[in-house]
Amino acid sequence: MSTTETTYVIPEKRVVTTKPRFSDKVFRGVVTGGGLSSLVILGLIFGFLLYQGFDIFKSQGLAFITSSRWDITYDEAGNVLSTEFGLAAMLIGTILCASIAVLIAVPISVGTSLYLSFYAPEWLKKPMVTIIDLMAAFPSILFGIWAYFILMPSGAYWAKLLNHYLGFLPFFKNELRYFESSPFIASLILAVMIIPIITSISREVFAQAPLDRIQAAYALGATRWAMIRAVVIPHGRNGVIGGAMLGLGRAMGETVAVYTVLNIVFTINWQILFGTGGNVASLILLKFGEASAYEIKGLMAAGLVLFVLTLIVNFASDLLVRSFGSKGK
Amino acid sequence: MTTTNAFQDIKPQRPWQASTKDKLISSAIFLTSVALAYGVVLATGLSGKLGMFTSFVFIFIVITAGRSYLQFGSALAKDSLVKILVAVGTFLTLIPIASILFEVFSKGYKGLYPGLFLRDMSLNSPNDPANVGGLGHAILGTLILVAIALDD
Repeated sequence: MSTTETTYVIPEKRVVTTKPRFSDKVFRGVVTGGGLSSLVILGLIFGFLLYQGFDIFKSQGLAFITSSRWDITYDEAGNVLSTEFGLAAMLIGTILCASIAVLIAVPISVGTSLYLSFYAPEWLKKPMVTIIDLMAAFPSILFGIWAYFILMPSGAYWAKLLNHYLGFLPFFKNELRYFESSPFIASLILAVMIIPIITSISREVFAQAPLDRIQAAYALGATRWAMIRAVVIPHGRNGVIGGAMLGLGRAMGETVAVYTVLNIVFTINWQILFGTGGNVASLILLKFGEASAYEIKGLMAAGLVLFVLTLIVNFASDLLVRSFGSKGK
Repeated sequence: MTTTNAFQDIKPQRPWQASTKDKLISSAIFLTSVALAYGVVLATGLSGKLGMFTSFVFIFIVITAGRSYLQFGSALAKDSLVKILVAVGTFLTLIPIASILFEVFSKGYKGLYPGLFLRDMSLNSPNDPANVGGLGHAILGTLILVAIALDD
């Protein structure tokens, strides 16, 4: 009888580490770089605009936002004698047009997306979704030309109707009886442009409404509207607000379509039916072609103001979406 | 020997679907509303397509919602009201698209010819008809721009 000696080999301790492998590091670096690059580009744009427009901000001060004149005088040698840059009319026009456009577009878009999600028969749904997405891809110059030739006559007629029946309201006054090229028509074309965006975002949000709750609502005897009000709208409210804010951002930055339609004048105009208005982006397009080197600095400063305005709207929309943070009943 | 399926003669019933009678009634309501709207346009100051459309929507809502209120009560009246409003919203969304597509095709079809995508405008003068020269340069430029942007 022999005793077998069994030797137990204790394996080395396995090293558990959180240190990533080399390939992981490379991948992480590439992905982080890609993610940060958009932020870097945004920062560079901001820096460029600030650098170009700094002189203007220094010489105009707060009047750049509060006054509404855009004058630049030269002596005979072409040197700049005096300048007066003010964006008040343009800023007010931008905000006015964009908010009216959102006011018009949101009910229509929510209606459309509700119809597409819950009412439309299957054979109609797919082609309509395709068509509305197609509309989101139309180039804005097409909208501009269409608005100028087709929408403008009808829009001026609707403006006259509004003025005739609701003219006692200060917004709808129009003493000079000039109805073409008004902020109202610019708002209409902006609304047409942002309807597809808000519609497709709302449709996607409504499609994510929990199916079990929808079926529970139907099982309890709810009509379709009762189901929508109890389940879909509480669930989708955030998304609709987010879509509306995205539309607002697009409407504020829209350049060519507004430029084609709107009559850009440096006077603050609150009468939306009267044919003068302002728009920062269109102002830049209007002046850029024949601007002197100094005036281009002014336009860059205007671009910076628009940039900041858009950023503010985006942050505000984030806050708004977060404050409505409930996810349905 | 033939086997017969005991269930073959039984048609599935779909009580939630609109019957022929329901469809007839709703189309009758639709036609009545169109006729009444036309009457309103003739009789009152409302005129044109806008007047016709508004009065039609109003009359259609009143008849449909009123009918479901009398038949089934307020919940279904609200339901049918929302159904109409939602459909009107969709219609309003589709009008601009239809108009843009119609205008683009009806005004642009004259310029369509096979060389449009291949030739450029280098030999054109301002008074040439639409089917001389083409968009080749613009299409090539767009392709180059998009290719570089996507490649980056």
